[in-house]
Amino acid sequence: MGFVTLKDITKQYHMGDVVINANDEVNFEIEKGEFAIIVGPSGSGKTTVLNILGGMDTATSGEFYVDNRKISDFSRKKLISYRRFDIGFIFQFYNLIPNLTAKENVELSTQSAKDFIPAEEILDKVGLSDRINNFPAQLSGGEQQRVAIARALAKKPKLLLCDEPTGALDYNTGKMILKLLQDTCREEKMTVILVTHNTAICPMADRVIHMKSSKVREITVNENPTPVENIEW
Amino acid sequence: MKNAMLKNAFSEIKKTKSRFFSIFGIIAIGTGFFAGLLSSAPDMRLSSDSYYDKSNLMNYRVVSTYGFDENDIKALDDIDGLNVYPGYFTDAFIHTDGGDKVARVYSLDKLGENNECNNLQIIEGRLPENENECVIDGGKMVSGYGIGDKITLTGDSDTDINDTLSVTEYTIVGKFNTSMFISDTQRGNTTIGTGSVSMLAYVPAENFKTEYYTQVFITADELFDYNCYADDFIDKSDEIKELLESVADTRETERFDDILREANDKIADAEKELADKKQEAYDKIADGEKELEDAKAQLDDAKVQLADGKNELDDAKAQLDDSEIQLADSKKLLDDTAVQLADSKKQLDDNKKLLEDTKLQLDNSKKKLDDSEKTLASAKAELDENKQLLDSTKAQLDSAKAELDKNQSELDAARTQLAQGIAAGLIDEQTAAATKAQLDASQSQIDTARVQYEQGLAQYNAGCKQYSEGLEKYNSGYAEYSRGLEQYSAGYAKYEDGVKQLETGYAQYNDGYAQYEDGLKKYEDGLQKYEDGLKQYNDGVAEYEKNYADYEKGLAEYNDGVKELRDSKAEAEEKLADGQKEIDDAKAEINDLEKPVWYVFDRDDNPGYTEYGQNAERMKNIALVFPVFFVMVAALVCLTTMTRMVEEQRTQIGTLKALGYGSGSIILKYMLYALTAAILGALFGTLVGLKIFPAIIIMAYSMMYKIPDCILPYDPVLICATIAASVVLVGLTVYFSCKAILHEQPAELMRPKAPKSGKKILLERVGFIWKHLTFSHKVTLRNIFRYKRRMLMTVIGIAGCTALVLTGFGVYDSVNDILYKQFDEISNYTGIAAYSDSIEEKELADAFDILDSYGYEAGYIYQKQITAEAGSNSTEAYIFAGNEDSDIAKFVTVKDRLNGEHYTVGDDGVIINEKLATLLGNVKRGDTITLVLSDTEKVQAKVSEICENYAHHYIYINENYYKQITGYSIPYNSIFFNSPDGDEVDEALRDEISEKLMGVDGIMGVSFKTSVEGTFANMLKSLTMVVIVLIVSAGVLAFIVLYNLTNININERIREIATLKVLGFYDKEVSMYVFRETIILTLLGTVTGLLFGRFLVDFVVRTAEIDMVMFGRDVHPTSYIISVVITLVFALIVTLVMHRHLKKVDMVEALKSVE
Repeated sequence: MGFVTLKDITKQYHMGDVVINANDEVNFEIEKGEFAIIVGPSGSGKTTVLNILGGMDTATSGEFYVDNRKISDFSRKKLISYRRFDIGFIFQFYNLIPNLTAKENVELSTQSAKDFIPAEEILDKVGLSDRINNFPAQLSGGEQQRVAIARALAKKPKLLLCDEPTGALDYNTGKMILKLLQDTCREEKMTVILVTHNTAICPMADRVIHMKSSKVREITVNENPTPVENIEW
Repeated sequence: MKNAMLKNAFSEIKKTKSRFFSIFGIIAIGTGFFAGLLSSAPDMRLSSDSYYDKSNLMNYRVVSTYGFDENDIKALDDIDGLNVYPGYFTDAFIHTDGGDKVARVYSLDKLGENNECNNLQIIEGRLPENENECVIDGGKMVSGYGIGDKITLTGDSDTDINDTLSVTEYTIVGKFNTSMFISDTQRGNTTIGTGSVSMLAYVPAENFKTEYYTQVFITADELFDYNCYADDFIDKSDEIKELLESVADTRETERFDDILREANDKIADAEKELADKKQEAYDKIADGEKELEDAKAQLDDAKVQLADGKNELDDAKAQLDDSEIQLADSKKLLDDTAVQLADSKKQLDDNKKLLEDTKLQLDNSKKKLDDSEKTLASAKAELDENKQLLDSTKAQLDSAKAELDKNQSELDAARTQLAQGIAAGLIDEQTAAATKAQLDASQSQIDTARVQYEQGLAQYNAGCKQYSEGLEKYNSGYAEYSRGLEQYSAGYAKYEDGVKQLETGYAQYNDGYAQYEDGLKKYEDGLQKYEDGLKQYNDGVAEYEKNYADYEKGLAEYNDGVKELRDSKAEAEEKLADGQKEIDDAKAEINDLEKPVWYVFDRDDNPGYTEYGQNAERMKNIALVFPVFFVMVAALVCLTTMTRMVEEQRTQIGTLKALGYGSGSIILKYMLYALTAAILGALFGTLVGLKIFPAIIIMAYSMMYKIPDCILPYDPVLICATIAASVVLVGLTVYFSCKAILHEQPAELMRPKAPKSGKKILLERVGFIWKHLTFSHKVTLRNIFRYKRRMLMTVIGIAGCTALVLTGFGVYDSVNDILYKQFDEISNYTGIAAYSDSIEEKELADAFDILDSYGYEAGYIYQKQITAEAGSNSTEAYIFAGNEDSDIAKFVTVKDRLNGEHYTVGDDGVIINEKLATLLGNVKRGDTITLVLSDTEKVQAKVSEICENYAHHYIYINENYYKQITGYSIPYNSIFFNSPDGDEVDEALRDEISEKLMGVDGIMGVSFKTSVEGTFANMLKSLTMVVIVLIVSAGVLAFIVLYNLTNININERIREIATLKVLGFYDKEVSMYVFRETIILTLLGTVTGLLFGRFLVDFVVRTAEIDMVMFGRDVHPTSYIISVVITLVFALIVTLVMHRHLKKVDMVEALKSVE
């Protein structure tokens, strides 16, 4: 069993009498320290998988394990703790608290963590040491996303989940963010799972999970992932 | 296009039900409250007017100092459009547990039938059907009387109730309410007793003996068409009143002329009568004098006769004394003779006795002799008999001797034969033996007989000897006897001589005794004569004495007669003088006679009538204040809600704009949405509110005012106006919500709204505070200042809530304070004993002694309900007059409310209470007010100070100033007293003291402050209802505001909240992140609310006060605390509800996209 294991994960939504399968028996495994990309077109159920992985949503059926813990059996309360201590989440639209400075946004997640990297340090690491007292509105998109990454990393999560982190960013900034993520994965041995519809970036991943119509189509493993700098799209 | 927009609007309603209902709800509550409270006043007026009309409440009550005769009634009846109901009334005392109270007794026109005017609402029992039945009012002023009880009406000291009423004892058969006295605690004033009426009673009209009608009730047809509290009514009513007053003027003069004429006739009659009486009296006196003279002559004659009698009696007395001496002499003589006679008698008796003894001896001797003779004779006979016997015995013995000898010879012969026979042997031996034995036996027999014979011979010889001796004795006895007989004969001769001598002595004695008895008889006759004479003399003396007494009595009678005559002469003269004086007085009186005065009262003079109207007015004022809050809050809630809605839909608006829809049609959707909610809400709110709120208010007031009707009409104008107002209000809020967005470019709108940027707040610059705040507090503080509008709204909403609750409690405090401040701080006395003006000095002293025995301090106070006037204002107030300022100070605390300075009731003016000063048109220190002491007596008084007082109105005045303004001394009517142990006198002791005091003649009533306090507390209960209404509405307000704002807060920040959740914030932490703001704002709002509420309390208290009382002006600290707690509890409830809501926020949905 891998560090992350999904077994027959199915997620159904009921829209009146119609049952929609967002995930249909999804199975895959990801090893610790891997950079995994879940790729697929819109509506293929990749974000749903990510949400279930992040404990933000629960599967209708199926099991999944993280670090040998059966997360799919977790209670609501345990799921919150799971999110709190084990998961770092990065969104397309950053989801920073607009009323808090960059530093405070990071502190928001570290204030309750058991083991964490001080805000200044992590912000320095993402290259924002001179912007730590700025509010999100005063930062560019890339900067905001870097704050978001800092926020996610500061609490030393087991899993870093990224939902289209570059979706709202320009090419260069996006690339920079991806590099940051890849570097973090390599340097910190962080397990990163990234959801994207951009197949072009697949080569940078250790493992690529292709999804289509709520199902896993294919799982490819790159023995030699390409550094993101070398990828063009 | 329009159609599509409409569809869009209505589908929007379906989608966002909760938002729609929040607008609907706040508008419904706001309008319901607004319309409900606003129509409370008109509904109160309508209800009361309906009651007045139904019970045909009089418009005017006319009384006259002379009563009304038929001409008076006719004059009134002649006015078109007026209905005249003449009747009677009188004031009488009834006995109650709290002493004698005054009852106003009205006439019931027909037995068993309600009066046409002021008809009664029988709430219990029935109307009187007999002349000795009555009904009483169902008010709370007099307790202890129930149906079936007997009630006795009495007059005061100088009036006899029997002059007015033919029946004074009634059985209560029913209780009633009357529209004339809607107040529960006021029954008007009277001139008797304590000055205030406590009970109403209706008794059959026939029972009134009064010659004239004592009152007239009048209703005016045209006034029925108006609401009685309306200005039209008042104007019209005043017009008719003036008309009535003009009739009064005419009738006063006419009636006066009649009375004068009648009076003059009467005086003429009286003068004639007096002259007649004078003559009569003089005649009588002359007769009396003559009678006395005759009597005198008779008395003199009697005196002479008495002197003669006395002389005669003295003579008789001398004669009697002589006779007495003679009689004594005779008596002595007779007594001597009697002694002598007795001696003779004794001697004779002795002799006689001696003779009798002698005779007895002689008789004995004779008897003895006779016995001897008899003995001798019998001895002779015996001797003879013995001689004979002896002779026979000699013969017998001789014969026996012969036989013996013969037998012996025979035997000897036999023996010889035998011996021969034997010898012969003829006879065998055996026969020989037997014969021998036979022979021996015969020999023995012969021997025995021989012995017997010898014995008999010896006996015979002895008998011969005895006989000889007996014969000798007999011969000597016979000689003795002969000697005795000789002696006896000699003694007997001697005895017979003695008897002869004695008989001669006796004859002599008897002669002497007869002589003595004659003498005695003569003496006794003399004595009898003497005694008769003495008796006659004594009778004479008695008669004389009786005659003398008669004479003296006659003399005394004569003297009395003389005196009497003198007195009656004086009396007659005095009477005549009196008669003359009376006539003179009557003449003077006629000269002084005042014109009759008619008093025309309208409904304003009915206790409670105006007050109720004023209360309605006050209600209107309050009604205007409170709904303003709700309207404000409603507007704020709508504004936030709509703003939020518009902002949520900015993309949609952008799309519509991009599609070419104009601002008008876009705004229309929101207008439709909001206005539908507003119109429906307003309709619902008004329809419900118009029924609920006025009903509560009317119900609350019905505790004090007996208005049975509750009319709650729907006023279409009010409903439409309210709806229109809410439409305008909501329309404006929609317009303001949309305005900003509509000005933006479609492209801008299509983009997500730039989130409000974070900003450093001022506080961050104060490093040392900011650094010490925890992370979450910093966030909270920053958030608070991020949404300033919402912050403001929350604060206002919460402040409103706290203010309302505080107002509720504040009003409650103010009202409750009256009890404490009035009865504990201001009125220091323990109780009052009211006494009648006829009480005597001694009785007053008794009353003081009773109080003194309990250690009570007592003093005189004059307390009476009067009317105080200043300018055009007039109010009923109590005059409180004491003999010294120290006495007033003993029983009441006269002080300033604000600085607590104690005032002395001095010689320079009166002290009146604050509220009275206000009611009289803000009278100031140094102003002059008019005191209407009675209908005829008005005096001016200067106000020297204004003091604190809450219940009723008081005019404090001291002795000197009273005299100065009225010209006479205070007519004290009550004793105030203080318990040594403070106010709390236990009931048993109260009853005991009451009973003792009531036992003193002239004490009419004893009341303790505690019981007054109780009645007052009851009266104020109605306000509790208002308090509850306020608190409940405050709660609703707080809930709506907090719920709405928190809801919006959450919706607006849903992404933020979702992010927190994703970051692994526990439910509690997420809630606290949001609620910390709410809590701070709530606290802020609460503090603001307390400040604002304090002013509101003041306003409400001032408007809600009734004339009779001044409410307290302080709000208790506990009320502040409770208000805060209640607000926080409301906030907590909202928080709990919202916490559940927050838990359900779906992170995935919230973060899915940016709209």
